[in-house]
Amino acid sequence: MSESPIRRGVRRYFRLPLHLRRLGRADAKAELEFVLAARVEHYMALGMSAADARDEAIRRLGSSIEQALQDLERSAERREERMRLRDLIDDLRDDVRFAVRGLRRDKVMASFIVVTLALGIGANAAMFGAVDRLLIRGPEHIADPSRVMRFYRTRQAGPNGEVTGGAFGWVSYDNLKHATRSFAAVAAYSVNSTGIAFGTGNDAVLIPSGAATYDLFPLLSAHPQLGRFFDAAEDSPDAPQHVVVLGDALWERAFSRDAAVLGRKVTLGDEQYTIIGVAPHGFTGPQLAPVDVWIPMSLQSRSVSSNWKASWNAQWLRLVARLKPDVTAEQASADATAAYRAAYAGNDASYKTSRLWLAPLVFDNNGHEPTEVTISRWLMGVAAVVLLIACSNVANLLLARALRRRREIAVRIALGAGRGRLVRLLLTESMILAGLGAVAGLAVAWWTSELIRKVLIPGVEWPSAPVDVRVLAVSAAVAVAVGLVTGLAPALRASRPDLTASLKAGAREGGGQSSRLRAALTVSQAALSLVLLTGAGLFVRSLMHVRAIDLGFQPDRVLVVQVRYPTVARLGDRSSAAEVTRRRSVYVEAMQRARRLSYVEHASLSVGLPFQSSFGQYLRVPGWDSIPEFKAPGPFLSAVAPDYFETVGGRLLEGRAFTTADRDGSEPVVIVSRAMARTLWPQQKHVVGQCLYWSTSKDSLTTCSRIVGVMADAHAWGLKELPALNYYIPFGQERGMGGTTLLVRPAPGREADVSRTVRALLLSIDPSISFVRAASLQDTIDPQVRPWRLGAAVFTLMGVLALVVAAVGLYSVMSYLVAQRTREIGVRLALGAQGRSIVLLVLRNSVSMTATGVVIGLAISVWAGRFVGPLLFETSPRDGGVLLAGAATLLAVSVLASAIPALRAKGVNPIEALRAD
Amino acid sequence: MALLKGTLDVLVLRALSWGTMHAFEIITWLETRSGGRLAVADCPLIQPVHRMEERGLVVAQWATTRANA
Repeated sequence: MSESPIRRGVRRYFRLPLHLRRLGRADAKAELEFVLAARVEHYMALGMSAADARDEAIRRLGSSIEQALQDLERSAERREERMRLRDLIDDLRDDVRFAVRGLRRDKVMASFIVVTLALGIGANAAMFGAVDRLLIRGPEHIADPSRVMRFYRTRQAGPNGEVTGGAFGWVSYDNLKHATRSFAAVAAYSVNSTGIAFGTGNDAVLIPSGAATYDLFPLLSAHPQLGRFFDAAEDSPDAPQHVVVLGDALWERAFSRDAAVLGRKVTLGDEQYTIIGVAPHGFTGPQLAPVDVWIPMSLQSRSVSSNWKASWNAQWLRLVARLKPDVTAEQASADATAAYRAAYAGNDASYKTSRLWLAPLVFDNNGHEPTEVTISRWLMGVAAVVLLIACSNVANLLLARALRRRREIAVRIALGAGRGRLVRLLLTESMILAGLGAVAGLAVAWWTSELIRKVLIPGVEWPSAPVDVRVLAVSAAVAVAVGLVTGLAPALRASRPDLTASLKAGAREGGGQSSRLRAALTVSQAALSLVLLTGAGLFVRSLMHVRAIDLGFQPDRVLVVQVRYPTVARLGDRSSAAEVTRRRSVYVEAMQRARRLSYVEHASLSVGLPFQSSFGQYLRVPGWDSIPEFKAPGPFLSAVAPDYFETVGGRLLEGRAFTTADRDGSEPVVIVSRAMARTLWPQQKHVVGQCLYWSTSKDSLTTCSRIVGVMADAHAWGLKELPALNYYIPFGQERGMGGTTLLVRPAPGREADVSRTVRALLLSIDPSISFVRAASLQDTIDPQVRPWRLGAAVFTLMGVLALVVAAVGLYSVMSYLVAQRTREIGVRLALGAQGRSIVLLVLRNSVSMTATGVVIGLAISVWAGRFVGPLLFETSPRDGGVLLAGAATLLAVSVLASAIPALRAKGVNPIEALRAD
Repeated sequence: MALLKGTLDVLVLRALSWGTMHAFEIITWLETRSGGRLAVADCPLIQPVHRMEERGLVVAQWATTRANA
């Protein structure tokens, strides 16, 4: 394109009427008329008559006048439109070039703004990524997911009031499937996150497995990426087939995405399965935890109980349904409740009158929104607050910058630049900053998301990258909004200056209005920062309380070793009783050999372990007609080998622990927990020597087990629970309980060695073992701690972020104010003011703004505390210490942030200050 | 006379290389230089001028003619 002698933009200014379409048309008309006139004149000069000349001229147009005019108008219009667009693009390019040049002159401020926005936008993008998966999108590969819901049952049960659960038996599935009319489909599944052994011998690994009824896949509308899902015949309750559908991750990991896996056999927990399909990438069924293999429900149910098809007591399934299009959740719940009540044939009256209801898929086993989700939702809000702080900070800086440039802007206006043009120029600047911030923010988001995914919300399958299309879209939208919000106020203000004053005043600033706006921005930053700091404090305190809980044992020091044997069904000719005895001796030998290892402090065995498994037996205590249901959990019975209490770190309060002399056949003895002693023997101060009767049946409570000791209370299942009623009997004296666990207490720092050695040791003692799983007891408790850890970590991160942003913001604002007031300060110093009083002057200014913010922030914190309260652990949302610490931190930071500008103010040279301008 | 598409643009630019011209003058110039072999209808000539203006190849200007029409 050749460069025209006159810049196009300039042409626009000098032929203003053209920018109107109507005038463009008039222009075309005039042009045509002139051509006609010239033509007529030309022909007349050649000697034609006026009429002939005109006819000839019209003929020369090539068409009628009207047609010609129309053509010309159209082409003129098009020209105008295109040129206007091009001018716009040119202007934009100029604006961008100008803005970039301006920002490069002010590198420190620009980079600070970009970093601030990057943190703000990045935090939001990361939190959106998490919330998007947990709350908005839910599990992948579900068509129309809002119509797919989960069943829960609420019943009245004893002193604990209403009990809600999401576990059902196969009978309920069958019943809901056939006796209701609200559902397009009903399906059942169960996910075993501890896993099933995949492979054989030493190479076996545990992989998360899922069992599903055949109708689950069509219900979700999921389609396999290879092969097929199992069908009704393969999931037949009477003759289930050994078929398996692989998850995408396992297919990749173990089979390198080989399409020839179909038809191959794999070993899952000692049984051979034929691979018939591969689930699509990211498929996790109706929940979010990863699943590596899907097997038919009927196959898995055989291990539940022998009459699983008819039992109302066994409840191991989670039920989901797809609602018919015009049915509401309430109607469907009523329908399901009626069907359940009519069909229930079990022996618990509370089930007969229970209520079935439906909830979104994200709900947990107990019918609540999982705490992680609630906290994520909160953190989304927190991220938004951080963004707000960042925005007000950036707006503040841009405002200061615009005021610094008021003279330049006044010159522009004096030269005729329109207000719209100026606003556009300044907005371009903030948009560029927001854009750069967003790009840098995506890097922040990537890193933060990885952290959140791996550390804070494990156990969720994340099929997409930390920054996916949706996160990108949201970030882009946020960036545009941020650009507008941060740029608009400064731009509008700057484009409406008092011209003469600005031109005269030089760089000094007079207007009190704009400093009021800046003060408001600073105050709101302080207030919001305090809110976040308070939140962080509350969650940290909760986490501290959680950590400080005395569980009655030391889970982080205990290694739990569980052994998987081939299912009894596959034992062949060995009788199962003999096999049980043999296995027991394997455990005992493993325990004894483990004790001999130098880096093992203690080793023991137990049947029934806190947070893992618990057993209830029939119990009789003299003085009680029957043992009622208590509010506290239990009574739970565990059978423990000698050294158990030393191994788990329990405390013996009274009496003695078990010794090797306490075994099968010796005198029945028992150790009770303190809560149990106080609850069942409220009159006795010392219960050692008392009798307690327990049995597997109601009618044989005749053998006295003598209490030989009292243990400190230990939690049974939860972090928040009343002291559980526990009692312990010697390993070997248990009846009707199974599932022996080897417990090892490694020397500090040797956990990995122990886990490896014990595994090898067990496999060498008994080669028929199919899998050994060794994990810290802490691992089973961790999921319960996670919500608070999530809250504490992210709140603290955001709080510190907010604090830094607010501090730097305050610093820049104070620096700016000091620069503005140089002259005033110079006058003060010239009149004999002490340096100290100048410092105080500046400090007072900043601290008073912060203090106002603190007061507002405290009010907001107290108000918001009502909502955050339920998420905390034994911490009041109005915890004075936390509020005070937050306020003190913020004030201290504000003093620090304004100290440098204040000292600079002190150093002002009065002569120079007065001479300037 | 059949013209290759785009040729007219080049001819117009050639005409304008001599100086500022009005559309009418351009046509006249073309006719004169081609010895009357190039007869362009008036209206179709103005449209390519618009097109070229839009592409920045020519610049329009307002002025009065010598006859002050």
